[in-house]
Amino acid sequence: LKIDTTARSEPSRLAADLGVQFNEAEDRFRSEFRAWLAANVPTEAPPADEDERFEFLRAWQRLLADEGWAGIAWPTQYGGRGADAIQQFLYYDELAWAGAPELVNTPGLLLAGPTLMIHGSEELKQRLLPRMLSATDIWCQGFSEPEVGSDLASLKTRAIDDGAGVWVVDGQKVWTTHAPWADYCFVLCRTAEPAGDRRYEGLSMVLVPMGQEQVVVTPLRQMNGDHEYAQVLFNRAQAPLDMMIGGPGEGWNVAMTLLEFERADQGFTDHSRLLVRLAEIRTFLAAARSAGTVPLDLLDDVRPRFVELWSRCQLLAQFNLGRALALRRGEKPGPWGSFVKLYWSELWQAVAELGLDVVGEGGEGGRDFARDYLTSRGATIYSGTSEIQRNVIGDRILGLPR
Amino acid sequence: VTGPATNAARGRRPRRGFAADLQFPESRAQVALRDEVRAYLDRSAPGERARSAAETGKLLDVEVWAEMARMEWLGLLVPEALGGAECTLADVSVLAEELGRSLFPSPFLATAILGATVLRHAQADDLLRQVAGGSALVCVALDGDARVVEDPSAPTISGGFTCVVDADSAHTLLLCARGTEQAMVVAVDASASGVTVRSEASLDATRHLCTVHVDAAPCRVLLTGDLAETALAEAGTAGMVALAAELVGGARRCLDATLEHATDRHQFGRPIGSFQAVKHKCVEVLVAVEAARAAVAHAARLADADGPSAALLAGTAKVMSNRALTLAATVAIQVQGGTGFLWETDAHLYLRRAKASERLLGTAAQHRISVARTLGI
Repeated sequence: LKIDTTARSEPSRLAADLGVQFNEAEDRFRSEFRAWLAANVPTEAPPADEDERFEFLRAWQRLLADEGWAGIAWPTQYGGRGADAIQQFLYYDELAWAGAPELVNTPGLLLAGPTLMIHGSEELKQRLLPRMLSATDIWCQGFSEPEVGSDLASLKTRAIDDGAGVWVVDGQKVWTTHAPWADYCFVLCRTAEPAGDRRYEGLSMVLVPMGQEQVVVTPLRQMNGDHEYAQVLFNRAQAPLDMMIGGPGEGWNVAMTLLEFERADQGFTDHSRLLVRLAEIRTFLAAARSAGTVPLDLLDDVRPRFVELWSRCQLLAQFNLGRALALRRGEKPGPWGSFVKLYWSELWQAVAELGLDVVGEGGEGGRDFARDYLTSRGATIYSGTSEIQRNVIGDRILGLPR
Repeated sequence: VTGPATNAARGRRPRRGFAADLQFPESRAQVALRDEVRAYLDRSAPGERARSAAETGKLLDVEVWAEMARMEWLGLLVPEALGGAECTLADVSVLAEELGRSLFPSPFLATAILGATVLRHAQADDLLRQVAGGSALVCVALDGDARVVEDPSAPTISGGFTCVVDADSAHTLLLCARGTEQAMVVAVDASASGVTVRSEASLDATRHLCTVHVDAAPCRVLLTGDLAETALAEAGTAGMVALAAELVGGARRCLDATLEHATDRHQFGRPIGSFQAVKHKCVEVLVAVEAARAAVAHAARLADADGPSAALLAGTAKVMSNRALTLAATVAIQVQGGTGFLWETDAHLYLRRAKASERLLGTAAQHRISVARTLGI
């Protein structure tokens, strides 16, 4: 995929001036990464076959990790750069505009890793984090179950200490992203019965190795044709007792830390990624106009939508900048992650729909917008549906009664 | 936005104010300015002033205007050497947000923002001094056109303008003339011969949108050519930022009133804000308000840094804020039910402000066209 490089240049660039001056170190960081990407982003398109594509992406992440460009927010002792939130903001911006492939081990890099750093033992960190960073071990997230979605605390998967140093895990997880390729799953499960209606107690976060025959992975075919996620059956699956983030019974707390990372982080990636899509749509339109193949009434329809979405992308960039500044000041991700997640997921859907309407199917000369359109429908469901996000915002930001 | 006390089980209070952890942080001086302004404005209930403006048709309270001058609000954009405070647009938007929050009726936008910006470019020091001191009221006509007859001893101007903010309280009209060889900005005395100012019908009584006709009115040329164009463009940008900040302030006030009612009012044994149909409406307003506020702060920073896209983003901010206020006011009316539909409830005053503002400093459609052009769509 080639990006319209003029999209960033005056006078008509799509990424408007953010209205802030980055300091010298930040500018240096940005140009260093930009130069590295220019030399290293694969020029060939990712393979069509899903397994091959996964290996292609794994290799890309390994390359990033080898040069210290994966998990940049991680502390240096675990292979990161200790980058602050503003550097992350710049990092994702550069990745997007360079047309770089996505990072593949995100459930590990962005969720399990940081949570492990807060709630995990030093021994676990030393053992698991480096392999997570290089995508040697792929991680997946075991939260949702067939009967358990938004109401997460009602989950039924259980782990029992068998008295011989092993957690024995029984239950079923679903919508588990990357499960078909995963080496570990962080499984939220019940290790003790709740007292009365205090159902947030007695939950634990067990790290289950996937390479055992007591774990059965059934890939699920998604509406976009991919098999990225799966149903995972734990049938007396085993995990050593020390394979746990936080202690027994601390699982809910750990899960909430993790969800805040999840909702906080995705926003950083997406204003630039969406602006890149708008740049592609514009390039397509310009070419079609000079070829005389765009009906005028299409332009009448497209213009207001394009302007609206461009404006919202600018605002998303401002939100992300504001959040990055807040995180750098040491504030916790908190419920504002829900706000940003709600905003970008709905924005992505609108951008993808515009892309499909303008560019059409087939992905001629670039992005397959039909696929993007279908894939985007998941964004308002995963990581908490838009409805749940609105509840969180209403309860925790607006302080409305529950 | 007030409503009668309901069957309230007052306990948990809704949270107010903007998100410190989402928005670009305010400086300490800006926080202090906000506190000062709010303390002054909160001396009377917002709806009181606006309703009185609607009932009397009177916009300007001379004593209040003098107090605004004393508090240095009128000289925010006037250089210090001329008695002003020489502030940034980021500072201005703090003040404007508070003015909008309390629906403050005054010719502030016309004189202290649009007028002061043009006068600063014209280096009209005497007038600037008077603006900051509260003794001169000016207005700027941006929509419309006129032609100047350049008699070296006594130039005159003829033409017509619409949507001139608060022209009926101005002593001096600053008019643009593009129908000449080169663009000009001229000053015309409101009392001069050939000047007609008429207040147009408007839903919003807190701001008078006027039609101005000049017929061979004597004028003084302040700026010509590129200098005139730059001054008008910057006045437009500053005006859009200030107006957008006002609209955002009003929108947040509407949301606060909605939240208060949704918390206090009980039906079916529960506060109505616990119902998702109501709660999610409030969240929709929050999203619009926070987005608009981010847009205003962004545009203000760009304008303060002379960024090339400042005017474009100021237009975006104006459109977003206008939409946010319309939404926030309609939701305030809806959620407050029968109470929301009352004259005595403030929500409709904000809705009036929102609808009337749509014509001001560029409509949504006009801004959309200029963004589309700039982006090459």
